[in-house]
Amino acid sequence: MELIEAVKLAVEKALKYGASQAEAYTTRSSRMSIMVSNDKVSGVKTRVGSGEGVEGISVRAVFGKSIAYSHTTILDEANIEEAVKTAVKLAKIKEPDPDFKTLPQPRKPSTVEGIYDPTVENPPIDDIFDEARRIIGEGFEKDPNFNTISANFNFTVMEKAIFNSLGVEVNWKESIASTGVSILGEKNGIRSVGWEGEAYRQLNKIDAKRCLDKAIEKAKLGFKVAKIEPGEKTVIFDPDALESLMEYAFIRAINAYNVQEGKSYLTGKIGEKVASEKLTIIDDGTTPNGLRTAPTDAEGVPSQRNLIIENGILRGYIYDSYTAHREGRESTGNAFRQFRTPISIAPRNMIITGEEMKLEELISEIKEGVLIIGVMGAHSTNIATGAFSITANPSYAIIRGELTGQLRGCMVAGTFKEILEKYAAQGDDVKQRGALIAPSVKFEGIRITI
Amino acid sequence: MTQITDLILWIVNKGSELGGDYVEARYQKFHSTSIEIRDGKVVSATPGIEQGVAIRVLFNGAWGFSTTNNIDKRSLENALNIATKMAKQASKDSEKTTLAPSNVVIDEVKIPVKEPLEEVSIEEKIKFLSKADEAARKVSPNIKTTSNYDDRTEIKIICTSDGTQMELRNSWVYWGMWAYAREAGLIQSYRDRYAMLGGFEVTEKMNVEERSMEAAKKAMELLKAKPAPGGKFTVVIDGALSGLMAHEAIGHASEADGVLRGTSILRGKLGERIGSEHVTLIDDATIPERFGTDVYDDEGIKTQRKVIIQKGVLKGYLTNREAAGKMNLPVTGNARAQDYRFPPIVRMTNTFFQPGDMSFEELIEEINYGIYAKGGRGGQVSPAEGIFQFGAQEAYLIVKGEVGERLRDFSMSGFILETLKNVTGVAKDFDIYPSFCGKMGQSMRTTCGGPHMRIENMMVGGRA
Repeated sequence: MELIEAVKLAVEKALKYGASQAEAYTTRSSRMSIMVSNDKVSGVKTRVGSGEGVEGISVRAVFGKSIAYSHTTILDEANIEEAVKTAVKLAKIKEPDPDFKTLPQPRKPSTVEGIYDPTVENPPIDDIFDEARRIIGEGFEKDPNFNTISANFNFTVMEKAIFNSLGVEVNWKESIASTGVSILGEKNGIRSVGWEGEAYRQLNKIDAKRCLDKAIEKAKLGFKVAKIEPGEKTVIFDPDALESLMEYAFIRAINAYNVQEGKSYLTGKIGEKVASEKLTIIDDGTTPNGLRTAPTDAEGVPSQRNLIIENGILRGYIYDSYTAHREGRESTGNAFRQFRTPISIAPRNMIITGEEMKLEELISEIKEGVLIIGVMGAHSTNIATGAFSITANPSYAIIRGELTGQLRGCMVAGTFKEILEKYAAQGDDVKQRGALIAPSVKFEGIRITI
Repeated sequence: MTQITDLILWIVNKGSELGGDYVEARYQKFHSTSIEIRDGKVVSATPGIEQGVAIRVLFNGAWGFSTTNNIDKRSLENALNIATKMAKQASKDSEKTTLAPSNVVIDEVKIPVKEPLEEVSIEEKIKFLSKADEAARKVSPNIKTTSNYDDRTEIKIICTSDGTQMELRNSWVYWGMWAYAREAGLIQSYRDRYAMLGGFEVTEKMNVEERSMEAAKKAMELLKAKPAPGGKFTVVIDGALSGLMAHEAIGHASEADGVLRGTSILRGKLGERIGSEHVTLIDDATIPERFGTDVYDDEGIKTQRKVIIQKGVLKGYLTNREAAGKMNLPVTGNARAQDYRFPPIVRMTNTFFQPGDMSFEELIEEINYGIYAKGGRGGQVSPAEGIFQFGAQEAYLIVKGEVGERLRDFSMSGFILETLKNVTGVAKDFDIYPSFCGKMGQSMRTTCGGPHMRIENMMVGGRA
């Protein structure tokens, strides 16, 4: 069944069963991925290619002020009807939610660019396997101490359709191509890993060779163990490490639901200074080529650009329609869902801007500091206070402007509130990881334990 | 189900005709219910139905995998063609792999269920969760809550080109909650969870009201805690944390797929001492009702109890058929897949440290200045580098053998090959917790547990 037909059918049936409003959301995704890995020590070669086609529909039925969901992966009339019946029945028995006003009214979807590349649909699998083998071979030539190298590629195309009984009707296709290279080596008993990955909307933008070069650089740097004294240091988070930490320590704090429930350290802080005046953070659902760009969010609200922090001042939170209506305002277009789960709030493309300089300069002016490229344990962050305690791994010592080697067992503890204040500058190595579009970012006076 | 079994057998035979050295198809259909209550308000109660088929083809040492949720001949054939094409293209430079031999099994397994989940109304499930949520909020007006209930009933059919054919019926219930305590601008949180295999009758054994109340009290107590110090300490950890350590510090590194690929620090260490004599680690998929239990794994191999470490010596790895075949090791039945969207990979089941014979008092009496940490807040490991990390929910300073001041907001980190050697005492108590473990994008139901343990020289990341 065509997706747009499926959502219309679901909404029509929901109204027939007595729903006062109804909405259906459906996705169909196809994904090809390949993973090639060679291990020099044992001679084991791992080769896996996979293809996936998954679809599903989620129904949101409204009865008065009660909302209920149901979902199925079986997109035929009988199963959609069953899912609809379940959702409407549930909405009828659920206690009304006085905060619920209405599903979103129809508005013109935003015009967006660069979210779908048809070549991602049929990637040249044969060539890609060859490229993976070539990349791995080249990696082994660069250093005799490399033991294991793997390369992976993923190609996903997703089609989405949203329809509601108030007239919201939108469907679109989007694509993501990604690649990553990882290297594991051992020299004089010191184990080192190097990893680099990237994701784009377009197939021709991914470059496994670029990933290989960066992974080699990191793996080689890790063959030396550096020492640093514990205490307050200048710390650089690269985009990967920053994204891991911010997902738990910041993004949840600007989620309007957490803010309204008092589960955020940013509750009641609009208009106040919460970060260094050099720092500006924008969330934008319309960024050309952005990995989270789309005409609307997951409930059909047009994508838009929202100011979160402007020169250190907190300007806004991110909302779906439910939390927006609670405050009598408009949604910011941040509703997120997978067909299995109810709507939640998530950032779109979160862009960090501030004082920009070349990455080399950012590092070269540090007397003693740490470059963190991976964090462990970000998920144990106290989301309400932003207090975290993470292991910075991998991380490297910076001594007199030079990266001198890996740090073993370096831990960083603090609150993200402090981190925001300690923002100093950022590099020019911008990339998108998850929702975050950011370069490496430098913070001053961060306490490390080692 | 015979009609579907026939279809699954048909596609496996087709796969063999196309040249697959080994072909495996796994059908899954599940009904799930997911309920979330926040501060007494039912924010969602979502039933769902999913079905799909996973097809795996081995061709000349390379794997092709494909999945679809359309169950008809045309879609299955299409999926098979993708998997076969992928395997063939992948195999250009690989060598023939012989999977470790397995018994051909034809079986049907149904876990014992008294009250089938699909016969219990969603109202009743909401009531079960509401009572627990309310119990927490009764502790104090300063408590806010998020309570979750998840259940699943599942039919799984596995057929392989070796002739194995099985139909497995399973069902489980999961409960979890976060309690948030607020006072004078401070917010602290505490979480608990519990899960069991079985029908709705297991909810009676889960004590969720008591657990919720306890979580709320802990959150309130944490308001009085001070940020923890950072540095190296002698720590005593409770069963929840020793379980996390069993899972993160050593369990993942003992998974043979990583050992085979060169991404585990435990490669080449079989038979070697990697921990102190106090350390004995077990992975056991056969314990009734435990959240990580299965009768067969997703390659159709009977599961078992495995000794990974015995008194500090590495005795075995957790394997699938490929790793066992290539490394000439026993097949342990640890190949598990999250659902039909994923291929089976090597996973833990119920993983725990064996208790010793000390009392808690004996563990702490000689500690001059240390930390007593309790309750898991998630962990992470890099088996390739041998470094792990885990968060604690609550902690106390230990001063001169006595438990003292409360601490908060910290985690611990260590190196696998050092930490296990630093275990200097193990208590006789035991605790075990369910968790969803993530690996290569797949989330798997597991449990992990252990006794109170004393570890020297543990890295603590605090900010005081």
